[in-house]
Amino acid sequence: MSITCPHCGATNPDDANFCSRCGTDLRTESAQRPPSSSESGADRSIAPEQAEQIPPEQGRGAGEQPWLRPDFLGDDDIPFEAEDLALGEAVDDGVSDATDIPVVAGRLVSGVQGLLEPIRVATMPGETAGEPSVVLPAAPDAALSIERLRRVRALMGEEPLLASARGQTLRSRAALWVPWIFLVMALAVAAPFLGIGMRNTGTARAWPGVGSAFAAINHLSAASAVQILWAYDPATAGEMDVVAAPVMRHLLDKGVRPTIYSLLPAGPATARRLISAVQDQELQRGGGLGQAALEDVQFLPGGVMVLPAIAQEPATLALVFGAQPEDVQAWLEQVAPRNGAPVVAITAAGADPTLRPYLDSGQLVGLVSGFDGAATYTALLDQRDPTAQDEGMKLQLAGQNLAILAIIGLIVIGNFAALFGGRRNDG
Amino acid sequence: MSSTRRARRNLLTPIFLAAVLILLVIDRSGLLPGLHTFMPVGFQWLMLLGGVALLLGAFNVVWLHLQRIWGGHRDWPLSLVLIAVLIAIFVAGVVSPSGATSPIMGWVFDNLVAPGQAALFALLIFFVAAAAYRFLRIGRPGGAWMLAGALIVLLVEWPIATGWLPPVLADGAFWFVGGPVMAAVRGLLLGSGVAMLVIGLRLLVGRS
Repeated sequence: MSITCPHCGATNPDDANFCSRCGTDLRTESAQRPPSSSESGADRSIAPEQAEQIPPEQGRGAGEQPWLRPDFLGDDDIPFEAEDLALGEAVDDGVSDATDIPVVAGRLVSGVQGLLEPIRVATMPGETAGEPSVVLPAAPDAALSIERLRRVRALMGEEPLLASARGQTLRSRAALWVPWIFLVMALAVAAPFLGIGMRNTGTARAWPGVGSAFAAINHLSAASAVQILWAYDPATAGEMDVVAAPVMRHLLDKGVRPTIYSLLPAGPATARRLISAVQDQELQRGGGLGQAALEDVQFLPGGVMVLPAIAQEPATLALVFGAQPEDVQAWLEQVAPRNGAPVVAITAAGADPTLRPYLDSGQLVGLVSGFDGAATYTALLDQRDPTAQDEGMKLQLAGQNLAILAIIGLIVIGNFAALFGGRRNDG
Repeated sequence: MSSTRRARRNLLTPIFLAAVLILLVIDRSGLLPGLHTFMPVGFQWLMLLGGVALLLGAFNVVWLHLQRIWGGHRDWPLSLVLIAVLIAIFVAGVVSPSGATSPIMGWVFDNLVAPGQAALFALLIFFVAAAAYRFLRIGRPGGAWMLAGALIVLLVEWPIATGWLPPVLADGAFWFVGGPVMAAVRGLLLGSGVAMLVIGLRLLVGRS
């Protein structure tokens, strides 16, 4: 006889305490399950009294391996939501009721590229647990397991600070505050587009690295072989296009025909879009640019492992356009040592701190990052302040300013709330 | 399957991994110059494998959503929309002689893909704000340090503050990010690198 892990579906010996594949605690499972359940194929993660609620096509096989169900949303949801709701009920009652049966709530949003995963349904504004679709089995030590799970999860990194607060009752007031936080942020971001807010967008700070990047590109000739790794797609194009545009304009102005590679499926289209926009913009201004061969943008499937293939080609200069520091690091590790081409990084502001030591050590010959880098580079290229004329950049900068102001304000309010409301772990 | 056959099969993976590892080390060290003529072929194979994996993933998505439609599962109309869009994009890319650079694909990318991805990514600011409100507090263990660090970085990254912030604060933030923060990050990177090495060796010798 064997135990099938309710989390990953791995088959374990009957006397196993933990799953050999994922480490799930199997002791509770085996304690609450009738001895013959493995033979009968009953779904171990679903209470017997709820079994009739499950459609027939999701019977034995799908019950034991829920991820095979077409409507499966993620197995992690079950303990996650159950824990939240159990704790939320404890707040409402004022006491921690150890025998409450946790109920799985319907998920509001789930898994859109992983971006929305941090949302907990129980903490969403006005959200309540909907109709229970699955009821977890009630067991005498269920609350203990949930508490233990919470601590393990906290210790493993989700909420490391909470893990140290042993024995504290978790009181959730998030439903009161989260809508206000979201509203404040929405107002801050939208205000410039509604004509409200500051028109003074500040001045760019000339960080080291921009001048050397400009000089490296300025020394190129039309015959120079330049490689570009295009490591961003439309998700981060709002910031990255602003940084990449002056650099690309400079390259085209020098008559360089760069070879552009991308490991992202949407990378080539993003590159072509920016190059077309730069060429159109320059034509409107009455200038002329060298024609980049847009069909030279290549998508390389296989991820970072295929980067060494690029190193077979000699290059005078390499540029990495990436929103994440890992893309630049991968190039420095996999390509730069092989073909020896100096590297310039064009990145988002968030990647700057991680990459700056590479500039200091000489592995990068130039670093252009964020709005500051874009403005400084444009000033070097055109001898003008780009924010003085570009309305689009003004709006972006005003939105960024207000968003940062809102975050600072929220941090201050959060501290006051904690000060006057007593020490709380949440909300 | 007999235990002997299973053991042999299990041995194949570490042997293959060890062979690739040795090849990469030799290639990187330049001990065998002739290897450079062979390695590009290996990387071409890798790219082919990546392309095939991408296609398999697409087929898997189609198959999964067709099952949802046939079974009438929850939100099956969304699966129908996904299949329809996938077919439309595929046909638009294949039918047009210019392929991925066709005007139709360009329109779809500019008007659907790009704004959609950007909008989804922009939602992160709401989570950042909620996280800042909840977790950056003095009362937590080490919270004061985290709070001070976050505020300094936020202030320095704030373009409008460059006019009235004292330069010493910007220099301090620059030192903070480049010194202590990077020391910690590099420590983490080194630690994870060593851990990966150990796990890799354990896998190679069959002790995983």
